[in-house]
Amino acid sequence: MSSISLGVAALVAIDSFSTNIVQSVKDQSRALMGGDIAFSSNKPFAPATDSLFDSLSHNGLSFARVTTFPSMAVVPRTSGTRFAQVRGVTDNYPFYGNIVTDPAGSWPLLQRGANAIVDPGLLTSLNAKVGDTLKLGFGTFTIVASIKDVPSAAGIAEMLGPRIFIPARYIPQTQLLVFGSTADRTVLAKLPPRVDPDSYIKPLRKRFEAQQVRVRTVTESEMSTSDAIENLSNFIGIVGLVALLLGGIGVASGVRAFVARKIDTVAVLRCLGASSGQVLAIYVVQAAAMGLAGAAAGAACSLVLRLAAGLRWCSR
Amino acid sequence: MLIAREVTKEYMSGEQKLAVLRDVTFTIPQGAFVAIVGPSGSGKTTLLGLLAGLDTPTHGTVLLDDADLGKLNENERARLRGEKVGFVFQTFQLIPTLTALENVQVPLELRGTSGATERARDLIDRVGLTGRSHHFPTQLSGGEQQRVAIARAFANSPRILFADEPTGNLDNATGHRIFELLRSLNSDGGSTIVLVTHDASLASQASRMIRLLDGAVVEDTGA
Repeated sequence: MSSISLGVAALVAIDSFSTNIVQSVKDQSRALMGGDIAFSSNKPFAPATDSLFDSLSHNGLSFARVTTFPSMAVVPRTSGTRFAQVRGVTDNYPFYGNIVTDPAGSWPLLQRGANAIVDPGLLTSLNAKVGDTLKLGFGTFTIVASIKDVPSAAGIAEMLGPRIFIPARYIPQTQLLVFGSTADRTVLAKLPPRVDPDSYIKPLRKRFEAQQVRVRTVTESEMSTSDAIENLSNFIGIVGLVALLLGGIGVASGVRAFVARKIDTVAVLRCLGASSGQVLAIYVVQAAAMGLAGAAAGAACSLVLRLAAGLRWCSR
Repeated sequence: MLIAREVTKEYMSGEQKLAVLRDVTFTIPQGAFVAIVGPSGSGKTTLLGLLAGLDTPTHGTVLLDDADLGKLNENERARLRGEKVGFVFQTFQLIPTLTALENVQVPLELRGTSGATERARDLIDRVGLTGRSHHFPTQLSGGEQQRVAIARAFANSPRILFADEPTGNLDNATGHRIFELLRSLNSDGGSTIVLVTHDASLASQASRMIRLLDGAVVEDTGA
């Protein structure tokens, strides 16, 4: 019975986990992207593209820019150096979601000067603290806070180095982005209320793509993430199903041993007038009841663990 | 009435045929108390199995109230056993996960008899175990378990009761008490009792004795 319990618990956990993640992606897709539409390029935007953004802004769209590039970060006080991902953002970033900092509420300080807000891991690796000077290329910044939570989705780049947020207007001071430098440039658009991003961008998509600008709406992002999660869930689900089937083999041999132990009782029942159908029904019902009890216990166990994990997460 | 006509049972032992019973013939009228005796290996238990319809003879016929057991399939024989036959075994064979009362109810429940609980309670009272009806077999003595088995055997008011060494696992005194219980059920209820025993003193108290030796009837006091 425990084989079935564990197998069912795993399948229920996998299914509810992926359902929750997909729902969470749906609920937070705008926050994950930071806008309704993202325009990305790894080259500077052409003047024609910037003109297009400009004309769209007259139609009620708001734009925020994020420029991401790698750099060595230096804290002169401690002589610490670290490879990092620099993100230069405009003052209206992000359109959706809240950035949580430490000290709390420090995000508005970023745009008030040559300030930086960094991943806490960077402070640790550079042995630095809030208030220290941070050098990026030829630019000098003051660390005003560390990041506790940023709603945007983690990309591969962020696995390579901790993040440093600086005001976009101070990027030229660093002199790190010169001809041929590697940088990812993203323009996030916020549409007027109740405007569907896919319908809005459809007539314009080819013009951007002709300028080698990638266009991604929040719906496409959500679908892509949901598809990835579903594929992962399907894979894990298959693994769980195989585990359950293997557990079923264990159950089958357990039931066989159970019935073999009951052979005397079966013989007595036949002596007392039980038909073969009655005897079969008695033991099928018992085996089915044990299987059902095992499955119910597994599902209940999975739900309890999920609730406990959720409560623990909320209390953090 | 129980009729055995030239009943023979053979088994294959390798390539050799082994005759466990050979041309056994007798008639047992309704209400008789018959003891089948013989040394170990004489075929007593095999004969009991054939008479009860638990097995079929290689040759010959067994008629139980005019029903030819050899012509019935297993489920039909099972139904006949439920209606007309009771069993008492040497090792009691109670279902260990059921109480004494529930064990007696089993044949009644298998037939779908209504009022099974009341009937079972009545039978438990008749064998003198009123206060032990909710005990499990492991909580009962050997004699008490055998009394529960006898109550179960009489649950469906069988026409015939087969008892295979019912006192074999009991001490003398308890064995005699069980035997007296069987005798009283025979005389009061009119059920035919066919008792297999190697105990000569018990066998001599039956109204008829059939002696087996090497699979054949060598003596029949009622013939």
